[in-house]
Amino acid sequence: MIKIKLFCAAGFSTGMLVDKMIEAAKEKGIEVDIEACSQHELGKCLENLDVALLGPQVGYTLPKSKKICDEKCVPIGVIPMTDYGTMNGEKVLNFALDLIEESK
Amino acid sequence: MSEMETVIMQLIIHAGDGKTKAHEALREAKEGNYKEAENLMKLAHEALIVAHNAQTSLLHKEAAGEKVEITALFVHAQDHLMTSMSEINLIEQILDLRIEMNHLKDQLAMEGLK
Repeated sequence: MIKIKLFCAAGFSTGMLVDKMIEAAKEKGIEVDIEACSQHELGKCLENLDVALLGPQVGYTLPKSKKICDEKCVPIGVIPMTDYGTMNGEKVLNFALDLIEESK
Repeated sequence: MSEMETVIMQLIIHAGDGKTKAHEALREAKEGNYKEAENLMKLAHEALIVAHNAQTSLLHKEAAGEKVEITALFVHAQDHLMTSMSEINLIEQILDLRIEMNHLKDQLAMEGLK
């Protein structure tokens, strides 16, 4: 089971993307647990997490967020703007899987 | 995605992109890279314009008599745009302060060497 969390300002628009990513994972036959949260809660949400994704609208928090994630050895990345804007669940899922792969 | 959702996402990502660029500008200015900071602020303002245009397209629709559905997500998107706009304006002022402060620090350091 791969555990992914998406962080944005309120976990609102990322919530829409979560559904699309779960759909994409089902098609690929990958077992996932994906959730949307607020970036403010990042520090409390990293237990047993495989990868953290930031919405591009909170991309400015990357230096701060990365510091917190590095401490827990959780890879983190900012979702590309175009994939986010078009709510492309498959591409964002692949982006997350690549981040996990790179961190190994 | 519906047309409305597409416009909403345009609002959110471009408003967010603008804010991100402005924060990057602050970081560059802190390191003394003023040219980069200036470029990033230009990009921040450009991103705001793109977001603003997305919003204007909806306002035009409503002005033309077409009903625009107000969803919580739409309000949230506008919240993003408004906070980005005010934050970018404030960051512009903070950048000026940062540059002045760096100059003053340099001056003090020079005087200290005398």
